[in-house]
Amino acid sequence: MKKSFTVTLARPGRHLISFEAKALQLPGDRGSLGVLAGRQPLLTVMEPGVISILEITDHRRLFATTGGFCEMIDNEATLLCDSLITVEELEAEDAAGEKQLQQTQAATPATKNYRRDFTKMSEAEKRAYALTLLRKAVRG
Amino acid sequence: MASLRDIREKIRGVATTQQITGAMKMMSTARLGRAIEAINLTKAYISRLEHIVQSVKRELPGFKHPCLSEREVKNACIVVIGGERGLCGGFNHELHRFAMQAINEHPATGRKLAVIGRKPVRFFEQKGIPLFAAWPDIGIKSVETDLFPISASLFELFVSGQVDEISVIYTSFISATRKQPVISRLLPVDTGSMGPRAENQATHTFDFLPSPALLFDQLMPRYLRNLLHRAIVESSAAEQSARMTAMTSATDRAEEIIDDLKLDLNRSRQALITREIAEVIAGSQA
Repeated sequence: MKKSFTVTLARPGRHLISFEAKALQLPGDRGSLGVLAGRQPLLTVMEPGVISILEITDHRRLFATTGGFCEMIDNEATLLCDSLITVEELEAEDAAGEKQLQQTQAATPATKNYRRDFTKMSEAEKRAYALTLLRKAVRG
Repeated sequence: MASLRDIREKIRGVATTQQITGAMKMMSTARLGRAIEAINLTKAYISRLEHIVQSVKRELPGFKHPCLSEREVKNACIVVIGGERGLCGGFNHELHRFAMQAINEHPATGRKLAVIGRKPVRFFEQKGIPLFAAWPDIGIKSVETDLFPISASLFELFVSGQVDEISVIYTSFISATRKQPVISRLLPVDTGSMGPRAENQATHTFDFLPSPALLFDQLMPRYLRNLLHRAIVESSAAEQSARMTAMTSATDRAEEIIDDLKLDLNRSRQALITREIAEVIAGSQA
């Protein structure tokens, strides 16, 4: 059985980023979704949150996304992200993002099952939400 | 004959214009390079979105979605994407003429016109044609974020049944020397025009999360947004290419004018010298 698979991150108007990965964790529409090598073909929606890729070298890479799609087929996962923020880009986003999130939390309360209703969020709010999750993930 | 000072001032003026056109040519060349790269990247992203559409269609042959099914076209929304600025030869004029013709020949009885770009907005306003929506200030730098509300409103127009078709008119960038205004349909999606998948065509048993219908509800606005994105970057590349050509011609023409003026200057100076010598000789003989 294969122990690794290819993860390709794509975003509009930017170059593709590819990794050879052991495991992938992404924000699925029903919560966090883990993907391992040899998985059955999958087509899923991604919601705003953090994408975590465990590379074959055991190095973990984190990205924030505001949503998109994931297609896993023939041991290759393609993540089509609406936007993608790396940990390096995180610092530049800081102050404004935090402030926006506070406004977001006040404006869009969690639904009955404690999941946030992303359909009512603007792109800027989704971005601020995803950045906060990435910040938490980086701090561990 | 103009005085030497007048000719020198003219040369200075033309040289300044030549510097400006030369700088604009260099800027257009750099922007064109970036725009071509953006086209390629956007096309790559769209082809991956199309892979998803094809995966669903192959997996579920009888799958139906409002964005995939043909309707009788009674009302249509036509999006015109045009230039931001002038000084680009016949780029804007050609697009406006093509757009007017395409709009008049469109089979839909009800036509909603949405316009992106400063030049076409001004053109349609001057013509007194009512616009359903106008976005004059969409720049290529901010296009990713600016397109969210635009594509959302267009998508809402289609799914709510207010229009049966959404088309886009823009200048297609073929190469640095070839560009052509085109009209293409955005919605409903023509899956026949999508390129085939390169990899294994064998049927897979996909896990769809959520259901294919819900997945398509989320996929289609993104697909529409990226098709608009591609049209905008192609239009921008075509505009930069047209400006580059126009500025090259202007720079070359300025060079020719400077050469002619220098010839005039030398002739005038020679005539002045000859006249002065003649006057000196005439004075000495007297």
